[in-house]
Amino acid sequence: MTEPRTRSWMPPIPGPLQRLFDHFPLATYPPNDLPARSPRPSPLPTLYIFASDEDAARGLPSFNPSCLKWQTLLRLSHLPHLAVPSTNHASPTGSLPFLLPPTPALPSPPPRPIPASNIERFILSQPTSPPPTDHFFTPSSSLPPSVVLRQQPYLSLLSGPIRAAWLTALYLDESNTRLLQSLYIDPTSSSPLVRAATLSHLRAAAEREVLRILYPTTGASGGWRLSINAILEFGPGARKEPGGGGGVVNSEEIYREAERAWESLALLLGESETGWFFGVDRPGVFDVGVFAYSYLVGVASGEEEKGGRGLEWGDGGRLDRIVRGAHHGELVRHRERIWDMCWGRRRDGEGMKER
Amino acid sequence: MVLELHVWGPAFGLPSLDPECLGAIAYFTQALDRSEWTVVRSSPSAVPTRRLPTLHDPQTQTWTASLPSIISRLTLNPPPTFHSPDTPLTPSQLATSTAYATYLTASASPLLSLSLYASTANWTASVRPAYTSSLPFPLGWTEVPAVRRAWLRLADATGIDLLDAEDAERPAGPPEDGGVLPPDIKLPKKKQGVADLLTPEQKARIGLHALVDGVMDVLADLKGEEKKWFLLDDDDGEEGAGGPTTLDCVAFGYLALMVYPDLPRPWLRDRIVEKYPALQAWVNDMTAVCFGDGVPTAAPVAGTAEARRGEDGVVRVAGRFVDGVGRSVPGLGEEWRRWRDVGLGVGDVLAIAGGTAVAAVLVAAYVLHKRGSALMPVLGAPVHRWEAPRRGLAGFGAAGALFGGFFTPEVRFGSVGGGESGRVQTEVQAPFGGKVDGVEVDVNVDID
Repeated sequence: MTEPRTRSWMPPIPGPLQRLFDHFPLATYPPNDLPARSPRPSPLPTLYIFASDEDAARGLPSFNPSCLKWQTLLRLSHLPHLAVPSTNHASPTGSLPFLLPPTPALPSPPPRPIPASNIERFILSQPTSPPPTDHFFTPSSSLPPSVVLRQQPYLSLLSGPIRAAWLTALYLDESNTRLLQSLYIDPTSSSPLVRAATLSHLRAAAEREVLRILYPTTGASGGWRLSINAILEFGPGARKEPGGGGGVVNSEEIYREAERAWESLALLLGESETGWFFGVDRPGVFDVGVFAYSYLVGVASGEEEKGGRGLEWGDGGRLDRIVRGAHHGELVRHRERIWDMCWGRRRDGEGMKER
Repeated sequence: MVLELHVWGPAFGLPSLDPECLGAIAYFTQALDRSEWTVVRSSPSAVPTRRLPTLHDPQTQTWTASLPSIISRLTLNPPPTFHSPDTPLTPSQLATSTAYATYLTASASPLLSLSLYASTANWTASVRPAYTSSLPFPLGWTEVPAVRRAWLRLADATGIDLLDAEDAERPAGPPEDGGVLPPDIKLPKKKQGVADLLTPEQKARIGLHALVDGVMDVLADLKGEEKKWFLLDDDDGEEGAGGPTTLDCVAFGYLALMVYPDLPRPWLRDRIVEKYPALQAWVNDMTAVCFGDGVPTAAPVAGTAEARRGEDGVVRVAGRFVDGVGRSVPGLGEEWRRWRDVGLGVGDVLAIAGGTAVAAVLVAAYVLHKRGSALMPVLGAPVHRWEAPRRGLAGFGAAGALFGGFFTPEVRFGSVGGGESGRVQTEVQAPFGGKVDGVEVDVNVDID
């Protein structure tokens, strides 16, 4: 190994190969362009949400409660933004929505995406946004401590019984299968096999989530997981009507709990004199969170002007009846107020501008 | 006919060791006369709803699970002495009650989970014995791990890890660094720092305190200083007077289990006693009001409905045990659970048929193999190979091989003479005829 190296360690290229490479020289192509759907440099922040292409382009509400919550807050804050339809796979946190701050042109490093929990802070930190006293919404940080403490139990109503009822109605109720398919399944694939598999996965995940919300500590079932059976089970008549057995969703019980939760929220709203929760002057994040559910449970009808906004429920709007019945329709008036502020006539001009 | 409230068994001086069951018992003491209900010590496998607490009405033979459903059932079909503790509440207070009860379920259970289930010291020293003693003999093996798994999911969500390294339920992480090193390489011994002497609870102290304060601040804010209960005050004759309400009962289930148990690592109780004495006093008041005239116990008296049904009879316990074992079989447990809880659907029949076919093929293959008619060698069986002792110059390795051409080596097979040392190499048979250890070496030996 100590032998002196007088020439290259590579053997000389054989003649035929040499001639071949003379004919077809090695060339390095420039890097491909980014895919067409990748984020473009944009002077506006971009919100990635669940929505159909047309709805997102027109700035219409998302059909997913947590996306709608932050979308509503953005519109409420009068911060110009773009809405782009997306899926969970695109999100760095694994769930929508997330916000991409204004993206400069390519050479500079792209900004970090902002998860949903930090969107409010992002809005407040914008240099264009008005000083804290003149915000179009009530920032959470400006709430007095006693309100913050009182808010938490009511927030757990939204994330507990109301969310469980939402999941049950949309995902587990057979009569809403068409709605579920048109929202989440059809955009994913055109193959019926893939659609059926996605639907059953979605259902199983929703059922797990509902059980987790309702009975967080019931260990009798020993955990849920997907099995061949969970796929095979999909189909008419496979799932037996629950008789109250463990690990089975009892939809009547869920709707009853949701009714009590909505009633509590309506009473809380009725106590406020300003028309917003906890007596704040302008709607806050809590109002927006309630609106996200109370708007989406509404039944969409042909004439949007009549207040029939929401989704095309196949069960006749069971949750909408609950919301309408809660404390003399207090929540319906609340959702109308927020709709008017964010999407109503007054905002039409700005809606066009945001495209 | 008395109503039967099926709950987890007693522990820590409380009538039940489960927060929801404890809340249900407290509710019954406030809502019903003692003569109309009785506590039955039970477990999820003993009731058709597979969930505790469960109310059994022997008259109508109905089973109702979970406290909200039990309360709405009692309101719809009230027993003679039923009086709802929520009667004096205004609609606004009822709304508050709903919200805070939901909040307790969502946020107080992770605290209990961390304190009672995730902390290995507390679990092994206090809680597991309590569970085991509240179940008939073999059932502790099947039911208690399932209960703990469910509770640990809650603790997982908080992001605080209190499990000791040797805890059986601990999720398997990546192997320790030393695992891949050959055994003869010694790493310098790790220095024992302060962190190694601390218990997991002490390490997570700041996070735990923030978590406890987050929940207790909300409760202490509702409780306030003046009122005796969460929503009402005890003073007679004034407006807003009354006893404990449903919310008090639900909260009692959680707070009593935080304050009463004597645990080896009592961080949760210490924090409440130290920072929230008003809540601790409230727990004592609740105990006095609900269980002042004796803790309702489930003494199985001969002649009661429980004894007659043979709740703890040998056959029934054996059945529950087999059921529990079936649920924990990996791969089949889910099918078993569905079959027991939901009934059989088309998919279940297919899945069971497929599973049975696979099992039959495996058994048949095993039997065939044992009879020697299968081609595959026994997996994992050791193969012993005799290697001839190297004698003469061959014993000198490479140098010997060099000179080996000059002197014929003397090689003998099959026997080891006196003083000769042979070597037996053991290998383990891997699938498809390969070998796991060692390399097969062809040795050409000329034997004259």
